[in-house]
Amino acid sequence: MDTESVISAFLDDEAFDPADLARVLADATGRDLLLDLVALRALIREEPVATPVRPPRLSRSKWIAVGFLAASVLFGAGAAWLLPPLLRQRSAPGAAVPPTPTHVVTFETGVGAP
Amino acid sequence: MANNADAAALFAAHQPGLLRYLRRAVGHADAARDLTQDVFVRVAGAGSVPPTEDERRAWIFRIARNLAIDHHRRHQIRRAAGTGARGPSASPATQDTSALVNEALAAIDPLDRDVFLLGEAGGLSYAEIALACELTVPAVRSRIHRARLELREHLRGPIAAALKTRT
Repeated sequence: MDTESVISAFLDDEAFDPADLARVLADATGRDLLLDLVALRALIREEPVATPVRPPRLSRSKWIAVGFLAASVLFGAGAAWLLPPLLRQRSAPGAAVPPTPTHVVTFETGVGAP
Repeated sequence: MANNADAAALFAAHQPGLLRYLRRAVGHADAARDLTQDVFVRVAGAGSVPPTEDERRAWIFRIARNLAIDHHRRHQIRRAAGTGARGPSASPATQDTSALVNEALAAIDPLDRDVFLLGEAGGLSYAEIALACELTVPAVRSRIHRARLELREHLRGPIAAALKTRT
């Protein structure tokens, strides 16, 4: 394949031999052609030649949402850690049986009774 | 008639590429938006839709290409009759980069231009372009190469400027 065919195939996601591309890009003419065609594509699509890659920055509202989410997760984890022992204590065997009486109060008829 | 939901989904999937293609094919953003809507009307009103994704893409872009060709014809008739506005390929007084690109595109063979734009702006593969334009894949490859080299010659200045702003 000639230089133009290899670079076109590379740009268009068509099949090409990587060895051909290596040979073409070893030459300054091939590299210049590749750069020009990338720039031509950007002109056709009205895009910048390349967009610098930056990590996405979170806006203030997104930071608040992330903080709220983190607080919710911590609260949930704390609740999950504290609640089971309390529930176990309340639902222990015998917990529903009334305590043994310690005093007996008896009412007897007295003054004013018929 | 194609199912409305299917037609809408199909259109939504291809709308950005269609708009980019038509923007360059007719040279005007407003006309491109109108023609993109016309593509949707044709898709929604079609009796049947091609079964495979490749065929559907080629079919939608063939509709777009035919609409762009009709658009050019209408403008040529108006120009010949001395009525109507200036043609889509005419550049404005202030020649910005986009106008220079449109001029360069207007200067190359119309079929080379269509084939090139379907790939470069529309995002179609060589096989899909071949289907859309009723050409063979080698013919598509050859036309794209030729268009690229001619446009590179026509647009040496803007290309150099685009690369310079990058460095």
